[in-house]
Amino acid sequence: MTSDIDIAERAGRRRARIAVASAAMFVTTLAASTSEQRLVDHVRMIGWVAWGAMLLIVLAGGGGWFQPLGVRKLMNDEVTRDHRQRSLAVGFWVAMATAALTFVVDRYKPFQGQDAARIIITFGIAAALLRFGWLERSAYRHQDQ
Amino acid sequence: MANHADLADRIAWGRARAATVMALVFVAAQIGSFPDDFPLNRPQTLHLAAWIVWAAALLFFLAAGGGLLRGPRMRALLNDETTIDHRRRAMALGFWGAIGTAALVYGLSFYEPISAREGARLIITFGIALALLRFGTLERKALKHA
Repeated sequence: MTSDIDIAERAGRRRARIAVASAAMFVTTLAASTSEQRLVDHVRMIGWVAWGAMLLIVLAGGGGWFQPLGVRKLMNDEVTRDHRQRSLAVGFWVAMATAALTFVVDRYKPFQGQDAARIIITFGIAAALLRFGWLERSAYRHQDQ
Repeated sequence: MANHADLADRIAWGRARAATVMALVFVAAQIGSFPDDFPLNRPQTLHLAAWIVWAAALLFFLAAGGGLLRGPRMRALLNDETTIDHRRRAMALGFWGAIGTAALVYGLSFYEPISAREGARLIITFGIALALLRFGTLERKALKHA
């Protein structure tokens, strides 16, 4: 059982680091997800969609799918579930704020709904992941002290 | 204290019902106003302005939870730990609603041109409505249980 706890802790710390790094990378790839007509653009776009979907699955389920059930349960305890709710709430506010911003910007410089959707999805997911990673890392740091 | 608790209970019931009704009315009121191509005529401008004020008010309602004019004691009763948890869960569903609507706008825009303004309106409308609906449902369940 102790071994399960150790594995869960190591995996949890790794998950927190990956969440923060993924959020930063996801935002930087926003520019690469445009939907032009070239084949390379289609591939990039599909990549962005797949990555976005994967990050959403991580946000929803918490990851650790390759770990045994006991470890996965330890990785998604009450504290982590609370962190997830908090991070999704931050994602909600950022998505709303980004949508409001695109609404205003379109008034002066019209652009497509597809671009607005990409921006909102990107910032919403990135904010939620960043918050999740931050909360998890803070909890582990607190545990270490 | 019993009076305060009774009053808080009544206000909480009202808030839970109001959240559900406001969510439904907010979505229903948007149906007639798409698309809103510029330049807008006077009724369209009024409709858009009303939507902006309404959306801001609902977001404020979601963030603050009401009871602002009733003093800190009543506010504390109205926004206890359970309600704060409900609010968080509601916003989590609002997040999924917003991202889901954005994904839908993204997919639909390959077949039907959608402006950024229309896309943003849809995302904000469904995000807020889902969060409010969830908040109302959770609060009513908890009050019924109590």
